[in-house]
Amino acid sequence: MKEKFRPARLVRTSPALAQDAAGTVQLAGFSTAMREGDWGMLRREGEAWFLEGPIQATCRPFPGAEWSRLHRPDRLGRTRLDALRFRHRIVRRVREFFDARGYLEVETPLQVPSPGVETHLQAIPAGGGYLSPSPEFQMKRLLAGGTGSIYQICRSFRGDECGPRHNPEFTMLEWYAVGASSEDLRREMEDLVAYVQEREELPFPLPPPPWERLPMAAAFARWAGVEDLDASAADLLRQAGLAPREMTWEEAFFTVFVEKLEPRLGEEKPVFLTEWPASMASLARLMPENPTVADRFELYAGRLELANGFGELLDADLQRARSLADLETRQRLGLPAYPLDERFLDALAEGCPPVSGVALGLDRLVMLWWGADHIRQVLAFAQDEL
Amino acid sequence: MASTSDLRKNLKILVDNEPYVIVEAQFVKPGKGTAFTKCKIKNLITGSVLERTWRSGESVDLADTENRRMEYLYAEGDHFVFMDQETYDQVHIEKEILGDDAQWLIDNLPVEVLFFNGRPVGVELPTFVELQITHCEPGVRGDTATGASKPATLSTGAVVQVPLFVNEGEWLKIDTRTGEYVERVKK
Repeated sequence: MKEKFRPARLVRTSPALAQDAAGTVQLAGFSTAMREGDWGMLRREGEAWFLEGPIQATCRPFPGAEWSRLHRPDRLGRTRLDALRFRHRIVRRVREFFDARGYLEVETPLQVPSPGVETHLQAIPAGGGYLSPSPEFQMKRLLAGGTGSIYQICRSFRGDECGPRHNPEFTMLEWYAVGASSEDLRREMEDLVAYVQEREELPFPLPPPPWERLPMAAAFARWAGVEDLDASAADLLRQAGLAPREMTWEEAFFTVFVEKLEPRLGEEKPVFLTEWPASMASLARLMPENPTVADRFELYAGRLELANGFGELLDADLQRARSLADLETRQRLGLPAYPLDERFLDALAEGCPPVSGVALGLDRLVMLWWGADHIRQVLAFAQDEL
Repeated sequence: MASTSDLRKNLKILVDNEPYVIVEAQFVKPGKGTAFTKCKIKNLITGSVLERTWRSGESVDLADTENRRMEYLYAEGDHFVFMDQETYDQVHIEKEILGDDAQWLIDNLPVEVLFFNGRPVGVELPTFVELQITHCEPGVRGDTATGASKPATLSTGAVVQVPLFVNEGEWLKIDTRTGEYVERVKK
């Protein structure tokens, strides 16, 4: 028998015997929940057979594709169903954490009129609008309305992003702490991870916090040998020891980032990359004490980009100017133009309390803790399984 | 030409004028920035593996490669001669290209020949070949203890390690990737 996993019936408990289409095998063990006559799945470990189950009585003895999809063991002998149960435990703890801290859980629409105008974003059109790539605009409107600190666990959608760490539809944990600095928020992320790790048994816990805060310029110096981050595109590549190629400064920045930094980020311990170049501020404010860098940070763990956070920009005029510049870039690159979210800009103008916010890829956090190589292992359905 | 969104496993591409096949492609898009595809690529001629990263929007040249099913005919000087099973064209391939694989060549052995820009650059043998033992020490009946082995010379001149119970004149299945004995076969 080549298959390592096949359905069989428990015929005797002592000595434990299971029978399947191929005959009878002596069991080294079986699930305590099983009674004689129950169907389960035979698993072989070396020479020993184990029977796991029971499989529901309504399930045919030789299960179909759906059953196999959820019960096929991975290289560590765990199934997709195990991963979904694990994920459920994590999500429950995350909610518990925020609820205990007095956050209000909100749910904002997934179908929105504007997906934002970030240059490298491909939104998925839906019903005259778009599937939301991030709940940011609506959550900030709530903040302007006076909700106080809020969190949300929601689906977000980014077209064309697909691979072992990306699924076009993914789960975002996004929260905003009113009156908090971005450093307060980094501490809160550490607290969140510690909270779950202290309460749940995780196959692959992260090294306990505190974690390093590393300004972007220092990260470039440490791993790419780049001493002057403000140099031209060609000079950036040269400093990093990469072959010269025709590209913009931003492209050169990310080329060095992908080639030199990313393979090292969070290798041993998670790391917060802070103080991003002002041109990559996105929705972050500039650092009050140094306006050449933005109050933006990302958390990396195990080479995986886990979260992106901002000390939020609350100046409506500046936000509009940045959005228009982004739109112009999109136009220059021949990318579709997305509408500005005027009501979001109005909300900023109306007045939003000082706030820091962070978006964390919940699937990726579960991936890390579960030790998954592919995001699909922690999703009920990956896109290519629909 | 291909765009970076076409980069996926098994695509054959041209890098520094040599043909490569993509073994692994990983999508990365750090910090709301440009997207990249990080690939592990394998040189189709030398077999060496490299890592390369392409920025989204860059173009990649496709390699003009073709696999043709051929069979081995005979050796001639520095060359082996193969025949295309569809067109019956005969092709001379330098012995160097086969290297150690030459020791498994038997008449009419079906192979896949990789052509790059119209020239043969690689020959892939079937995973298993069956060869007869022309010489080995006599077998020891009943000795199936694992571990013990002896050399056996095959009809092509290749020498492989076989278990003690195997005898001269018998046919063996050999794994061409490792050059190892798999099992006896009845002929």
